[in-house]
Amino acid sequence: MAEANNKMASKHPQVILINDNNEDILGAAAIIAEQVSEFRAIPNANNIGKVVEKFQPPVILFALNTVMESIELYSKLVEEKLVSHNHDAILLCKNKESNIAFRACIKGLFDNYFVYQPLYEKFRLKIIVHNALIKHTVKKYEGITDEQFDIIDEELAELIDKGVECKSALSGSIQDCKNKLGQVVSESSEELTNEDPQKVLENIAKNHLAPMLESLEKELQISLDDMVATMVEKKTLATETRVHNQYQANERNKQLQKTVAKKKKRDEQQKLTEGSKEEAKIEANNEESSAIHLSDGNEPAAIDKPQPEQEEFAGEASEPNLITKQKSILVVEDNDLYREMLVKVLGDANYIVSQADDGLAALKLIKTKRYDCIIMDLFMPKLDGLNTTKHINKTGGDNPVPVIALTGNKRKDLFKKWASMGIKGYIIKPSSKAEILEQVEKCVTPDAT
Amino acid sequence: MDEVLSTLSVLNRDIMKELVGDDMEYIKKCELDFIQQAQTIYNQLVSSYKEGDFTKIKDRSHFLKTSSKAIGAEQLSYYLQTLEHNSTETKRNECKVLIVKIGKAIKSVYEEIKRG
Repeated sequence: MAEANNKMASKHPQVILINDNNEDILGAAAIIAEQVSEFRAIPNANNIGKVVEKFQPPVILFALNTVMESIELYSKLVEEKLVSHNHDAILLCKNKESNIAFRACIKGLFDNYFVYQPLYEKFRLKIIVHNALIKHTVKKYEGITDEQFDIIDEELAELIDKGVECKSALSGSIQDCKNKLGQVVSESSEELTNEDPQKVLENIAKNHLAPMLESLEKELQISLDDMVATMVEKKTLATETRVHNQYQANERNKQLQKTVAKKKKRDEQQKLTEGSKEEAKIEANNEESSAIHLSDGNEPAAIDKPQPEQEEFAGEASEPNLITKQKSILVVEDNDLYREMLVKVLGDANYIVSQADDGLAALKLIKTKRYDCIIMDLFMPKLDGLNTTKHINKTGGDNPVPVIALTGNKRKDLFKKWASMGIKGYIIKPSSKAEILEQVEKCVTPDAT
Repeated sequence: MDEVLSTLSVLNRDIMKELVGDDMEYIKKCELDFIQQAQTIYNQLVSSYKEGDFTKIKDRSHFLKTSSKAIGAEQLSYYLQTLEHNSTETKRNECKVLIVKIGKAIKSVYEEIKRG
């Protein structure tokens, strides 16, 4: 905050915010201060004209009590020629006065307006200030840095960059055409005085316009092809990942079938061996042999001494009664207190529990470990539950980790929507221990009813 | 609002028991942790209101609503839910009144916890 305050009092401001009430503009001022180092919030006082004249800022924002007062002040500054330098005048207004602000902009008094009370949309304010600073080529302005962007889907960000490249290439081609066209016009004006106008026009169409349009078409095609190729590449990569995952799953199934077959064979052999031993023992000692027989009948040998192969595939065995494994759950919830409660509930129920406080942290964990189930809050900072689920499903191929949503919402239409986005179940906060465990059980054992 | 409130408890301990079981020592620890969390979030709500940052008011009220529901602070979670709703609609005066009520509701929960 101290840093933000310092920024609000720059000695040579490029952006100034004239205001009546410092408390009213704190939020907006903090946003601009984060974006522009040369910024100052200035209270509206008698000497405001002199201050503006002295700094000559390229961007002036007016946030007086009413739009009328802002209009009056700006008109006065214009009349007294105190703002004769190149600048953008931006009106900050309350929502209820936006119609007046809109009119003031359309009529050309102000260059733009921004609604800052009772609620503001910070990126809208940033783009208004950004465009004004770019327009006036303010040298000290560094532009919007990557840190100021909110995190979005990586592929979407890449697509935006690709679109920018495409647009830039197209603008360049159009500019080239304009230049060539200018050249043709000047050359043709001489010909027009000496030759048949119809012939000259045909000549222009054949020798200049047609090649120019062809060239423009080619360049446009190249740019679009490039963009389409990027999108196709991403789609192919996603398909390959799915195919690869399917192949791995098939291989695991084959291996598993082999293991189960081996195990059955071993069991049968063991029974035969034990049967022979028993017979021998019966002959030696009737009482002792009968006790061993009872014990063997109640506890299958495979469970007492599992083989390494069986442990490796324990989580995916088609006969769950033979082999069991502790299930691992990831709890993603920003409220640390509630998260700890969930961790305790699941831990007490013998699950292995990991935790993360937002979607981004969860994605990092998911990269390093395969969980049997994820319980996730939908409303979180940085990356919310729905977007995190999309990432999980996108990267999980045919077998993504099931996600259970934590929500305070009871609207059934929303549940349907979430289900279509890959959410496998939901827990309404706070829920009871029994309800939470029931949902988790359903997810980790899909056959459970 | 008053009608709904009259049906809600300051602190319904059955909710915590249903959630984490009968471990009274653990429940006590959670209740004290909650009071600390509630005080911090309350201060953030007040500053966000002063800054006119209604988005943050919405975020913070949603955050505290989660743990207040879990702890069984029914009246407090009701106020937080109403504040979350009003901040979305940017009802400035209503938000102010609710933030004051939330401060009082946190004190009531604390008194109830002290009583044991």
